[in-house]
Amino acid sequence: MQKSGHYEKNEGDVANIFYFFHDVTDYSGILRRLQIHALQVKLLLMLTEEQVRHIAKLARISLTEEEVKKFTVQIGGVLEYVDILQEVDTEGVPETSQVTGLTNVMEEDVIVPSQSSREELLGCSELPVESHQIRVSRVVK
Amino acid sequence: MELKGLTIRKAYEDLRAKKYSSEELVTATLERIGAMDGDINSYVTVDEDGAYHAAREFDKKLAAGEEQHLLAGIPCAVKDLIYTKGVRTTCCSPILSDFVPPYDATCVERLRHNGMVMIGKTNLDEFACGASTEHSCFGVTKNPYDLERVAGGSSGGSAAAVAADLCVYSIGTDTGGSIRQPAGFCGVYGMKGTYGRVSRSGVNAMASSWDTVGPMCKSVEDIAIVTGVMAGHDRRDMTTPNVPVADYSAVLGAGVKGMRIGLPQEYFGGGVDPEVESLVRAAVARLEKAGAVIVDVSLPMTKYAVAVYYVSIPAELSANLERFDGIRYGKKAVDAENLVDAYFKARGAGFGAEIKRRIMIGTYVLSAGYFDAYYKKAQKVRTLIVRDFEQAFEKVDVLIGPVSPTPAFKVGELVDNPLAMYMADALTIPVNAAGVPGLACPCGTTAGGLPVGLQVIAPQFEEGRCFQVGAELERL
Repeated sequence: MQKSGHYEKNEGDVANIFYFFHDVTDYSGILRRLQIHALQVKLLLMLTEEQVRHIAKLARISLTEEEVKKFTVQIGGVLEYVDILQEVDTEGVPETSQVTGLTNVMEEDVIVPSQSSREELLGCSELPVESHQIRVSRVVK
Repeated sequence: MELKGLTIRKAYEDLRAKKYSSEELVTATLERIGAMDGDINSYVTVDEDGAYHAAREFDKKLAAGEEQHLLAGIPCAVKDLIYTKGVRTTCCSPILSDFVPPYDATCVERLRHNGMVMIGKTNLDEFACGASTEHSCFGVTKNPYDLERVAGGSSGGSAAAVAADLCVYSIGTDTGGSIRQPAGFCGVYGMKGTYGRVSRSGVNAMASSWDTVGPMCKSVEDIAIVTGVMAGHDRRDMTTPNVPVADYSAVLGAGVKGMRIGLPQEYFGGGVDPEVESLVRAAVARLEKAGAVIVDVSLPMTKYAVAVYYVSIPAELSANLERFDGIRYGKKAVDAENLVDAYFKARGAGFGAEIKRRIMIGTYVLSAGYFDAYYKKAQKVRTLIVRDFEQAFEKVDVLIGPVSPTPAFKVGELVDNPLAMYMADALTIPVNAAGVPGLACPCGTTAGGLPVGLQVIAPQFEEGRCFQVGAELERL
């Protein structure tokens, strides 16, 4: 997927607003400006509608055309904002996946009482249950 | 009996002194909910039968002279993100609007074992994604101090219920500030414990490496009591280290003489509302008078925390919400042509806008070609945030700062502007990134009567320091 669109620092541009976030930590000022600019937002394309449709397909979520339009702007805005991470020098810095420091947590392989019975678990489904299995729609035509 | 300001400690004493029974306490609470919650909207489900059953159990045992825990017989509310057996748990999402879990979360199990009386389940932003409880499918929870303003989020219902005395204490979750921020907005105490202090088993996962569970109460002692019951290693949650749970009551009276309190310069100044800052600084001044040493520190990575969060959380959330497809649980798809169509339709109909946005951001940043630039990068910056706190704690015992840059905002003010809403958590998110504990404490109200909260932050597993400082602040 390619990034599309480019940014100019003009008054009222979405990108201009987001530069505020890391130049100045004036949160209440930011809120005021965003309230004004929310009405004037131009469609700056960090993301195309085509890309949004593709992502929704990957995530198995159906969207209306109106949602596609709205999310393209909103998600594009968030992606533009998180780009400030690129300015951080992370040379030689390891990733943090979790903060406990735990590795290879093991336990004895013994049978313990289950929290719920098989019937209780199957009872959570709205779909028909047959022979302890949940019956789903046809997978292939 | 007086429900206003009723703490666990006071209720415990009153119940033992037979001033009222647990059953009467439940009745009074339900009446108050009937009178006030129509306006506040803190409860999603009220479980009258369950509450009375537990209350009568308590009363019976008390009459028989059996010893019961400090918090037995006392009404509490549980955030609707946390699974309760036999009681509807919706996560405030359309996809789970009729879901009844077949088991209790570990934290609920531990509370029940000690005699908790659960009044019901409280409102939250859908799947805990929000800072105002405006993203709930059951409507927003209003701030009891000003019904035109939000209670905060995502544990808005839990905070408002305690603030309005619609329960004595409640349980919430905190992934980016979701206990501390609403606690601050509603003028109550809220504890985000160390990551892994309280088991997440049975708590609907949002971001598995960030989520925590904690209490919201009317006093520091109550926070310490409830934390003590819920905390500890759980074989069902392999991210709960085998660290013993301290006797928190021991530190409540210790005072702050000689304690080094750090003020991160990034948590004050230009970005923070002047009234919020002055109330927090005034509280710190009181602590200084009581013998604490105040030290200026710096957490330079603070300004990147929101960006780290909005890459990491959507990524982890998108994985955690994959299971919601209307097959084993949740609302099934209507008119699906085949299985894949069923997924699209169930999820398309079942998720609110904010959830769809976050799942899609997460899907994008984890996808091939973008994983290194976004997710891996965010994880590296997270390491730098962890180091910020480690370095600060070499110089000080605790850190103090505001919980939120502003007091409660108006309903509707930020809801159409996702990014503006995200900035509401700018001061709470770094604490979750580092997995360290933070206790939100009320420190006054603005001229307009809105509560302001500060947070006391300590190193991992040093909850006791948070309670020690919080208890002293309570006294001053």
